[in-house]
Amino acid sequence: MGKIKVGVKLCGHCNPLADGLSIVSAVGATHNGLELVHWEDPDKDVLLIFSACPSNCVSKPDFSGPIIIVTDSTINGAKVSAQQMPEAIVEMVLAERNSDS
Amino acid sequence: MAMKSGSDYKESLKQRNINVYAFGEKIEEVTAHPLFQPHVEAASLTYELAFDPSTEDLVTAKSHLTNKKINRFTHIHQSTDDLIKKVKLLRLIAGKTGSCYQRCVGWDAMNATYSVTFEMDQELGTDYHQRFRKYLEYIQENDLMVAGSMTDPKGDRSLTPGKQKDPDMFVHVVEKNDKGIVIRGAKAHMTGIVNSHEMLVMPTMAMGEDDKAYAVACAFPVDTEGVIHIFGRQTNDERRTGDGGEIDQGNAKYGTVGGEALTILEDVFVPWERVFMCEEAQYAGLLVERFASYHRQNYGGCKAGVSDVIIGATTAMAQSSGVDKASHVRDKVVEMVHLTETLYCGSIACSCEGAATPSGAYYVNPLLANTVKQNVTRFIYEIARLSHDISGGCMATLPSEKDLNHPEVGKYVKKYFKGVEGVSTEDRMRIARLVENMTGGTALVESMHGAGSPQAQRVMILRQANLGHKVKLAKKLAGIKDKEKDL
Repeated sequence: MGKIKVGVKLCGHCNPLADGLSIVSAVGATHNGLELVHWEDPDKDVLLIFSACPSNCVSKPDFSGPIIIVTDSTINGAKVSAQQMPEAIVEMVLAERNSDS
Repeated sequence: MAMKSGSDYKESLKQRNINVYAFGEKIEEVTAHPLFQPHVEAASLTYELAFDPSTEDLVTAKSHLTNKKINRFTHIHQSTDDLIKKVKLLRLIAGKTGSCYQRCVGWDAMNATYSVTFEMDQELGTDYHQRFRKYLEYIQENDLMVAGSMTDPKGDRSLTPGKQKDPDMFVHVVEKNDKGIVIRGAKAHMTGIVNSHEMLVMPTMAMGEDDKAYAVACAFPVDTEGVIHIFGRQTNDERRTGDGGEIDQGNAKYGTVGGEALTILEDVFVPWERVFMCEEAQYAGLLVERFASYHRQNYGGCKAGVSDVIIGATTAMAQSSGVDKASHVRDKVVEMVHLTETLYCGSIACSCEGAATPSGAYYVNPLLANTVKQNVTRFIYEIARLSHDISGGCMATLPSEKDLNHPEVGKYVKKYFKGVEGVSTEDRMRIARLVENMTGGTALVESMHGAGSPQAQRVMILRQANLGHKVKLAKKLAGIKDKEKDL
């Protein structure tokens, strides 16, 4: 089984409470079965949308597959601590991928 | 052509044959001159960040003309979300530059011209809007930087354009022929124009029929024959051109505000396809109002970003002096944050309350946009005052970087300008110089007069105030019957 392609869309980080690039990099480092790609990659399996604050104003592109919405302190609306964020995102990606397939 | 990168932008500037003067000399290459390099670097960031995954959501947009991904600084707002993203984008970049990156002026000029030409064509049967759409597509496709060019020198302010002793005090049409028009005059305070590709000329104020020759909007490259730019001085600008190093500059990479010039238009020919208003005096006021309101919207974005840096620098100064825990210092920092976020609130609000124009382009709420800019003319001064209060007198009396590194006296500078343990004197001087750079002289005046002087906002505020409604509310509560004569 190949790597799961995770399309990553980050907000513009105008007044960030978290650093999306660092968190997404940590996600990649946490699980080597994930391949992080640009959100415009047509072959992505999952779309990860990250907002660096709760306003979550990032533009949401159309995507028919699983979409995971992360803010500085939540994943799909559920509270997650900063320390747990990378692992929790990985778990969510794997869960979404499994449910989608 | 795709979106330009920062280096593409800088390279493209070198292709121009622009006529720029500064310090009494003709400048051979703007991008290679230390006086201009900070402004070029700041504008370059508006290009570079379009390729950064952590900023592209704000810095790019989808063109409504071509459906292609474009730099947002060339985008026509299609929704209130676009207006909000504009404000966030401006705050984002200002936080990175601590200075003006100049590209919003042309962006606002394009948005204003887009909607006004549509309405002109609807009423007058002209084809200005179609011309402008073609021009806009050219700008988007080539990712060009446009200098919005509104402010005329104006001469005797008590006289209308046509009554001036010197007719060139306002840009005007001096010739029309089958190929285009010839214009003469000058535009003042032209932000970023020496490192732009194009300039978009607009009238400077509402015009009457007698002044129709002054009602002109058009665009052309900044290196067109007959265009001369005379660069304006800024506070401490010789710290850039001397050999004193970078510390004394405060913000060596991005400089101070935008880099303004007086741009002379000495019989400049503009082909008809680049003319978007020619003697339709009744539309001059609307174009000015649209541009001004878009531009005043910006100030709670970019000034919030700049103030973020000032607050950070001020806090770092307090930390370096060991006073950051003092209650009065903390309270002053709170006040600086409060003022900053009040500005930001206004810009977000005028964006949320924006609405579609007949062209489909979205326009801000002009009352709220003018209120934001009016606040900027006061709050930035207060933020700067609080920063000076906390930072201490050394930001104004520090010796130079050369003294810091001097073989004989350097040790004394290091010893006697030292604050708390753990912060080097050099770092303390760097922060102090940054505060000095961002809170005095040219930087403050820009907050007062950029996007129009305070009275210009007050005129717009009164016009939009809906006073009749307020009087009705008061009369009703006071028990005054509807048919009573107005008080």
